[in-house]
Amino acid sequence: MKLSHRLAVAWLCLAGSAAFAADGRIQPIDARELGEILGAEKGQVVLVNFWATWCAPCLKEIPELTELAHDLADRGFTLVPVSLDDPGDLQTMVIPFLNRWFPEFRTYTRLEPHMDSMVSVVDSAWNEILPTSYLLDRDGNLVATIQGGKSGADFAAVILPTLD
Amino acid sequence: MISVIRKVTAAAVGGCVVLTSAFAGETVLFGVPVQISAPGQRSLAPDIDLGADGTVHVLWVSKAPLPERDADHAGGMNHDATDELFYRRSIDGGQRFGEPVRVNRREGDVWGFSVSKPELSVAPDGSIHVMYTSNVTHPNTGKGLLVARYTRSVDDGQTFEPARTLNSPAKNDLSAIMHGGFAAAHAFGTLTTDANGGVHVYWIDTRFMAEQDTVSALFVATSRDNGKTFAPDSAVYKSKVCPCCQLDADTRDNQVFLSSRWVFPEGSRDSAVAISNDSGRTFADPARLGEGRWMIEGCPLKRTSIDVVSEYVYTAWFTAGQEPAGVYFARSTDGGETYQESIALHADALVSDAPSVAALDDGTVFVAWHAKTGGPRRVFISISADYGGSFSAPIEVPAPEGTAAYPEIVAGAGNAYLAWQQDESVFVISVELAGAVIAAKRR
Repeated sequence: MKLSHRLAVAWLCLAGSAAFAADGRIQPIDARELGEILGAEKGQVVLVNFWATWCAPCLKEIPELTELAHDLADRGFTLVPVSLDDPGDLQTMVIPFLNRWFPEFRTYTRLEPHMDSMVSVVDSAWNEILPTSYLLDRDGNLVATIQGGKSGADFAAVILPTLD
Repeated sequence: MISVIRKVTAAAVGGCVVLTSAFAGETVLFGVPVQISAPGQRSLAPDIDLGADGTVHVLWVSKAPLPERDADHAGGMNHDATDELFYRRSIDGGQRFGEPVRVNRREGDVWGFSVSKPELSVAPDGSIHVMYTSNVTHPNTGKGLLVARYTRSVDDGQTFEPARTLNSPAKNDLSAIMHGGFAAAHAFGTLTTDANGGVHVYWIDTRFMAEQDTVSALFVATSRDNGKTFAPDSAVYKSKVCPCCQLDADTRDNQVFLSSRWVFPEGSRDSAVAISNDSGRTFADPARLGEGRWMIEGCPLKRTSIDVVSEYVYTAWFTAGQEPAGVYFARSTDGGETYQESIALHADALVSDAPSVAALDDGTVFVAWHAKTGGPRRVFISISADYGGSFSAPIEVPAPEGTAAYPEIVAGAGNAYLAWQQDESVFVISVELAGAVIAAKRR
């Protein structure tokens, strides 16, 4: 699948999510709001993907993750991407970067001063490695932690059993 | 052998917070925490060094303000940096600091964060040397670049010279895959000075990186005249190191010790120390630290801290390649040829990370790090009185409530000084051992 198609898929996958503001492709949130977003997704299998513009392995994951999210949407799977770039870099770096390279990718971005405060909503013992993804089952329980750059097949191997 | 601290009590005594410990009768004296950064200013990523005269030098990043929540109303591509770099000094043992001085002359010239810190090194003559990364736009391509900048102060930190870019231009373009669309990065660097006017600046360089790998080169630029001029940069290693794990370095006589996170042939990213015996001109392959093999294809963001005192080489790092994952220490007693078995410093923490090591020539070794033990991150130290052969149990530094993280520790003249990031402020505290064993050593 071409990158442009993948990005279109990402848009379609996430466009209907009530978690994003109606016109907000990029939505800064704090830790409390992330908790509320994840709470609202109970009943879904959720992959929380923490990434950053400066993390090359993170960027490699984005097209395949969004494609996977599209393919599994009707089975109750939701992707929740969260950028951990510094909140002060949002206007100067993160948004320009997304506009240029992932113009239809919808993501949350952190407002917390520390990356750890954001990730601690899911994992209080995060070891500050990116990319890190957490798979939550339909009850919101953490069932898998995935670190380091992975392929779509790698993610599918972890996600699919939880959808049964 | 130092016994583990069994009981720690705190009391305010004469402006100091005194933590009385049971280890070998030693008493750990903490000074009063001093906030270095201006209130309300988003500040992080401190570095600290000591001059030969005992002056405490602190450097930190001031970040851009937090964004408006309506974030979609942003402009086009813009790779201008937005951060500033500030410096303060104390001549009274860290109790009071002079006025802050902005290091970068060009406004917003700095690109830095907690795991990619600007660094400073104070030379024996008191000159202050600073290395930082700057985020610039290429004048021809319009693409972003991260460049390695250097500046110095030769007037006791009153002013800093205009910054110079030390890296030569890279010819490749990795903007499609890397670092926020940057075409090239010369970042995650460090610097160290020596007694012969040497200023050694190192950084991680993407110029030889292929699109399908995530291994970077390690570059150096060296001055032999105290930072007045630099020789053209050159590669120490062309494709060996993790691209996002900050470097650290120290010198001893004509040797340079350089720590990095090395990418080994099997794919593990483990801490390693390389030695140059010719004042940084050439380096041998490094010695790997620890017993684990950390297989991770990602951005660990983990520096390996190093301090060299006589024939002892002290190192501290994070690894998830051995159990338990967390902060480890290892020493070499033969000048870096071999390293002894690693020591886990905070095995019962939920997570421990970001260690910094510093030592005195009497065998006292300090390691500081941040860890979580149930609440937010807090800063801890462990102390060795036997050249790193054994360590006290972790001691929580008396930082204000909240998140205390990313410590940097420096030691000299019988004391240690610790800088850290307190939420979005920078603090400094003094650390002293006042027990009979240490006092006898220092006599």
